[in-house]
Amino acid sequence: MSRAVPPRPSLAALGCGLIPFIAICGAVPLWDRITPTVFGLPFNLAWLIAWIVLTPICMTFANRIETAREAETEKKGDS
Amino acid sequence: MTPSTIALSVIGGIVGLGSLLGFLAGARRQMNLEQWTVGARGFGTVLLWLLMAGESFTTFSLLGASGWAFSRGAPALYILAYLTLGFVLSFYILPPIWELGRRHGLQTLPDFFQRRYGSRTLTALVALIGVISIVPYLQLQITGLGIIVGVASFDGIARTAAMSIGCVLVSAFVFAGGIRAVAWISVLKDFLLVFVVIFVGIAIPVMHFGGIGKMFDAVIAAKPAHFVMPGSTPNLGHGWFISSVLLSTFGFYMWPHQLGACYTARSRETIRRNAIMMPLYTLSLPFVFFIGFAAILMLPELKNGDLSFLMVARDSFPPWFLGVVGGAGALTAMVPAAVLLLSAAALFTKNFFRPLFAPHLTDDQVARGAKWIVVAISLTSLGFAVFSSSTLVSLLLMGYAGVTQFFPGVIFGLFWPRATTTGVTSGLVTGAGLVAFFVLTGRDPFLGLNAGFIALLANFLVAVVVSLATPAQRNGFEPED
Repeated sequence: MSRAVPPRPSLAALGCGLIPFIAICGAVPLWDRITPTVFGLPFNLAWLIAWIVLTPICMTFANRIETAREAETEKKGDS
Repeated sequence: MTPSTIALSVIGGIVGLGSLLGFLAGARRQMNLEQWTVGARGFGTVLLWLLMAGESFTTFSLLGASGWAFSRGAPALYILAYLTLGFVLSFYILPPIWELGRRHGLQTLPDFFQRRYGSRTLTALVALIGVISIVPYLQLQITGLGIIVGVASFDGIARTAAMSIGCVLVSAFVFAGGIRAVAWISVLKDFLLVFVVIFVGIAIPVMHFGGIGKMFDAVIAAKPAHFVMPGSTPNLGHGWFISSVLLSTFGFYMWPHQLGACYTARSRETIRRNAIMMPLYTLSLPFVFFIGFAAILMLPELKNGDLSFLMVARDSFPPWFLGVVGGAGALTAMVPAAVLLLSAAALFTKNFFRPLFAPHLTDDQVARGAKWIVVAISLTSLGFAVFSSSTLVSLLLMGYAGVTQFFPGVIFGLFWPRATTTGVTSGLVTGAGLVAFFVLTGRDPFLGLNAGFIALLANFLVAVVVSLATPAQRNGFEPED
């Protein structure tokens, strides 16, 4: 790659990353509770555990977007 | 043989074996997903997960997290939150950092600052703040070692003596030529640790309560307020939670010793894939929380939460198993401690002392001086550990408050060419100054928010305003014309 400075992430990819932030930080008053319990665990603990698994899913989408975008830029660079 | 002798001997055996094999081995190999994938043909997905989960464990996650689960309750959940979000952030900032690091030969965070902003003063400041922030992190590991030895000796060895022993061991590790861990010894430690955590995390609730769900029923019934923020604290509410999570998320990769680790990756794609997968390794952490919560009913007299994991193990299992738990915990403390010590010493001598005060020193002299700095820093950390009663988690939060102040400089350095040296320096000084003020006057949390986070906001604001007020400058990453 001959570009001088690495590009910024795309808005769409950033949006994917924003989802876990909102779910974990933004929605605190909504999920900080004991009931309903999930498999015996208090809701807040279960919520965070769920997002440990959901976050990689969001980021996989972000990766697809970024990879596709980079492939585009490479093609344009070659022509 | 007394129980204490058995437990301590097992710990001694594990640590001794680990150290011996470590010293006999070759060069240190930084473990990351890539290398394990390459070397791990035939390892199933589960085994690989066990491995990486173990690598990401530290004394903080083992003793500190269970400690806060026991003593603070719901606020301890911030740990699960920031570990997940930290990896999200790394997806965006590590690939450009990696690319720039490769192109310009950058090894550490001060190198990054030096290249981008071209100011020796700013770089030295970054190094100094880095060293100061490492001290509480180091203090945490030493305190953890003290706890392990203390509990395993059935309170036979006094805390101060135990911590001093730990400190000497870590320094010896470092002096014997740095850390050289054989691949499979790391494997052994990782498997041991994760196995211990998951086993104890399931066995204790089953043995004492009849199941994890039943354990929660019992504990929640006994202390319902403990499980919703602010838990058993007067001031760690939602505002504190969000600000502490953000602080730790932004500071995640700002530790000076961490940048070097990402340079072993082969490509941007590898780094991104790492960033995506790594949250899954924190799935072992909830088991640590289970033990801290179980301890509420099992150890009602306990004052110091950081002891809860080991005390629960001591009360429920034979001494040799306590030794296994303690031994794994000890290795988990000693290796990061050695890395931290080495980084702090290198930062101090190469990026602070030599550029500012003694530019004529040769690399050899620097290396020799660094050994004395190792002693100084470890004694300082030991001193703080002996006289401080901060919990392990509080110590890490202090360290984070410091290193997160580098975040504006890094994020602007990557994505905002208009940021100037004066701007970033002013921001950094503001942020660090505020952190020092808040910490020294005991004002954390401040107005219900994490004080380090407030300092970070001020840092950003000042950096932006001053950057716009000073003339634009050349971005050090751009090629010279």
